[in-house]
Amino acid sequence: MTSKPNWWQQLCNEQRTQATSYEEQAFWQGLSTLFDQQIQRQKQLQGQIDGQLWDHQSW
Amino acid sequence: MEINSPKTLIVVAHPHIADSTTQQFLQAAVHQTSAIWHHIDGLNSLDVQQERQLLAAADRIIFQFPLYWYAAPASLKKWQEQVLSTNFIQQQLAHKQLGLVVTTGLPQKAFQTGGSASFTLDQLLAPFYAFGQQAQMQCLPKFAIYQFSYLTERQQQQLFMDYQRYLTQPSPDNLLNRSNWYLNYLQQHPQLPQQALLIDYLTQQILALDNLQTTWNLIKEAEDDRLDI
Repeated sequence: MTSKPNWWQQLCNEQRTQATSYEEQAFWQGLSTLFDQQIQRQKQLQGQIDGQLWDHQSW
Repeated sequence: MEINSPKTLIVVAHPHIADSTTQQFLQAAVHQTSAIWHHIDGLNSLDVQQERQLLAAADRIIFQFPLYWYAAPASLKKWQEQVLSTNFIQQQLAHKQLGLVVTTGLPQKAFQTGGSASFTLDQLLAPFYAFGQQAQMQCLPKFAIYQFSYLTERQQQQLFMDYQRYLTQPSPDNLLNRSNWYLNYLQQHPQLPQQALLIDYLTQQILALDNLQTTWNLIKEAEDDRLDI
């Protein structure tokens, strides 16, 4: 099952296909990748924090 | 926010640059930045003083070339022998950054241990790292482009931006610096659709990541303190 795209994924995809210059197309591609990486890092950090706080060994 | 982009000089060595799709692509990317494209094969005569002035004025010096028989083209070796000297590099290049942009028609896996090239790309580029060390330069990770013509359109678009960042983004290449580079790009291009919204969102994302990282650091510090007791 694929998840619904975020608003920024939709925006980047739309703008990438509508862009009039190659540089602009490239920018939207790069920005989309950056947002993906930020979300991944947030999930990773949150997971680490949650794991540390709920460490069963400390109970 | 303004980032402190380095003054970048790209020393390009390619004997048939007009026939190279990859180099034409990279040159198009450079045109959108403040980096200086300096094609040494295109020089009518070599003015050593002028070359040294170009090097001395840069913060980041990049050697860019295709891999020919596992080495740089002969023109770059000749240029190095004529332009560089021990005194010059130690007095004028110390503490600058050295980058390498290398293109190859071989796949990335060829340069892994056990691959068809028998050596990693970093091993083949060792003379440049040795030069960087002797000059007391900060050696940046290489920027390698494997089989450019096989890349999909999206991969080439990503490469376009990644290359621009390699030229102008402050090092190291971490998520924070990448984010600030794109934030700066948005601020410099007010004509982009939804620019204000994206600046706002990107700023929030940077802050959120910073908060999470700070929280994690505090937790680790507390754990380290607990272990020391």
